[in-house]
Amino acid sequence: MNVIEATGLGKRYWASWALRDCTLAIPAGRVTALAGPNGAGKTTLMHLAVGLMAPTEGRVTVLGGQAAGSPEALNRVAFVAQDVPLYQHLPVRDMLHLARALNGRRWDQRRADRQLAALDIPLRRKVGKLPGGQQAQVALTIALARRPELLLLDEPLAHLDPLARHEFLAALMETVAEDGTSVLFSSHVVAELERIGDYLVVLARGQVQVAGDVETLLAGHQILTGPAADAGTQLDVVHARLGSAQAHLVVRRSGAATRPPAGWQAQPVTLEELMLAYLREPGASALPGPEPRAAVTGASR
Amino acid sequence: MTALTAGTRQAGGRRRLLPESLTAMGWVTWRQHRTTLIWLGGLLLALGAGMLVAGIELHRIYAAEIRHDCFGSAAWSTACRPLQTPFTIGWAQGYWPHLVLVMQAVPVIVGVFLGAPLLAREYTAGTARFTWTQAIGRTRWAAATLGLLGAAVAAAGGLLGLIAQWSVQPITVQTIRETDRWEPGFFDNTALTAATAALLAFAVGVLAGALIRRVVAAMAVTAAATITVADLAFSRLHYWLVAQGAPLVRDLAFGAAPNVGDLSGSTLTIHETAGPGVPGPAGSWLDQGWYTGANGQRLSDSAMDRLSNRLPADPALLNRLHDAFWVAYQPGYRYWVFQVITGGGTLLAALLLGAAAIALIRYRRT
Repeated sequence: MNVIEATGLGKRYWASWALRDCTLAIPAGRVTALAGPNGAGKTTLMHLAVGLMAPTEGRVTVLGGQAAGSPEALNRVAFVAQDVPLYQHLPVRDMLHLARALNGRRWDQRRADRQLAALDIPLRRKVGKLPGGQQAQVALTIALARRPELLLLDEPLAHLDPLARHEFLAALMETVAEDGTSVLFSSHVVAELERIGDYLVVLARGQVQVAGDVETLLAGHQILTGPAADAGTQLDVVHARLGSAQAHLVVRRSGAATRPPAGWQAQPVTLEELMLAYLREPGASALPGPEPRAAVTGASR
Repeated sequence: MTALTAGTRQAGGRRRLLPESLTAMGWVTWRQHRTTLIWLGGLLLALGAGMLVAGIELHRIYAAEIRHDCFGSAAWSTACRPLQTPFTIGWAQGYWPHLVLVMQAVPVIVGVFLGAPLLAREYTAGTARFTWTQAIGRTRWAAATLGLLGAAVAAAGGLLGLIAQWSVQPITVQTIRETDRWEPGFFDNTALTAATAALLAFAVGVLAGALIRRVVAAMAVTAAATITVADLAFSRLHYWLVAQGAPLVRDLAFGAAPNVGDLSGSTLTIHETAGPGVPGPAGSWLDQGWYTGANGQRLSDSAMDRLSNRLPADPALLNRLHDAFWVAYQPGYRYWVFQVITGGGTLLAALLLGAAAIALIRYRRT
């Protein structure tokens, strides 16, 4: 089952497309990192998947074919929007009570209580008076208490300090491990994406640039270091950084070209390097499919 | 420990806590709007209490007037004069115009402070992204919220209308014509019309908030819209409406007071309720009047001019000329028909606007 399936999905605001021709399938049971520069369409994709927006073209379904935003979908999909919108004037306790009233049957009060107690969040304090990290935790607690099959998190870590980030991810991963929840989360923070994501989607200029299992992606790429003069020859280069003498290439290890050419040194690529390589080359792509994509080479200084 | 007790409560209360259930949405609605509801409710309560106090006092004086036979033989006795003073030159004179003003302000306040921010704040604070992605869904959330608050608004408006009508009764029966039941300030402040007027203003506010998505702008538009609508209804629509539906026509017999209305051409616009000092079928709304000559034809503009010039000096003229004065009127029993038409029309408008707001929430996904 795919937890999110988009076909030719597009969203236009007035004259400009926030997302265009987006075709994507995210398998169930994964923690998917959604990366991309500002304005790449990450938030738009999430809002489309949760039914806050309707697509201008194409279609998106969740949890094996449910229309995004349909009652059945909303019952099984939880969403934590950017900047954690909660009712600031409500005490935490009332905010939870409200969320329970809006969700009914699937709501797990025990889980919510346990999580808030573990985090030492004062229940009588107004949400707006909590530090950012605790607000994010309250939003996550509410989302997890809904026992979602798919959890969408839009920049959940944006305003958190490192400790709060750590606690947030710990709380998230504990539940994910417990329930097998599928997660799609967007972030600018590459290190966090790398830490918990096992599936990667990179958006650039409103289109899917990279989509795939993290391990497969890492195994399919490597870093080559060698003489700058030879750079770009018979290699499937994603991104090249050329120094005066040495070239630093991120290349695809496709087919026969698995061994580095003479005079070149091969190194495994990290997820961060891989992502940065693609983000720097918006024209390059790595997408799953029956046929390997035509190699796209590019170089920039 | 906390987890355990809460868990038990959850299991026990599961049936009651379905998102569909009104108790759950009732709690949500109350909690989300508690602050506004408390101060708004307090304000309306204070207004109602003020009307109640004034009404009790007016009814007390009126009862004393009846006791002293002030409307009969003892009209100018020493016992009656102090009782009549509030009505003739005293505070009751100021009470009813203020009452009309307050009752016109109530829907505007409800629309501006409860209706307009309702959805606009969800947009500006971004909480729509939270609330509309919960399992209950945006449509059911909106329908429940608007339904519950709308019912509360209608109930509060109706109750205020009821108190207002009751409190002004002693004035109405004592010849101050402007306070009569057909007049716009009072016709639209019965329990029925006050309830629906408040509901309409609330719906206007909600729709403005849904369209504009900015709190202050929505409030301003709501204030302008509700005041304009109320003003139009007050000064034009009401008089037009109560002239509809084939008013009955009657000859008021010779000597009918020709000074009851404004002359324009050969037709008088009367706009009075028949009662003490205004001839006509009791309790009916007099809309227009005109004169006919001896052979029954309507007097022309010039004939009307000549007649009205000579009448003040020669009141018996009508009799001698065998002229007649006719009125077109709505009989008193139709009062409730027009109440239902006004109230029903307002209710329908409110429901349509409310449905439009819900449709906007449901279908506009940008």
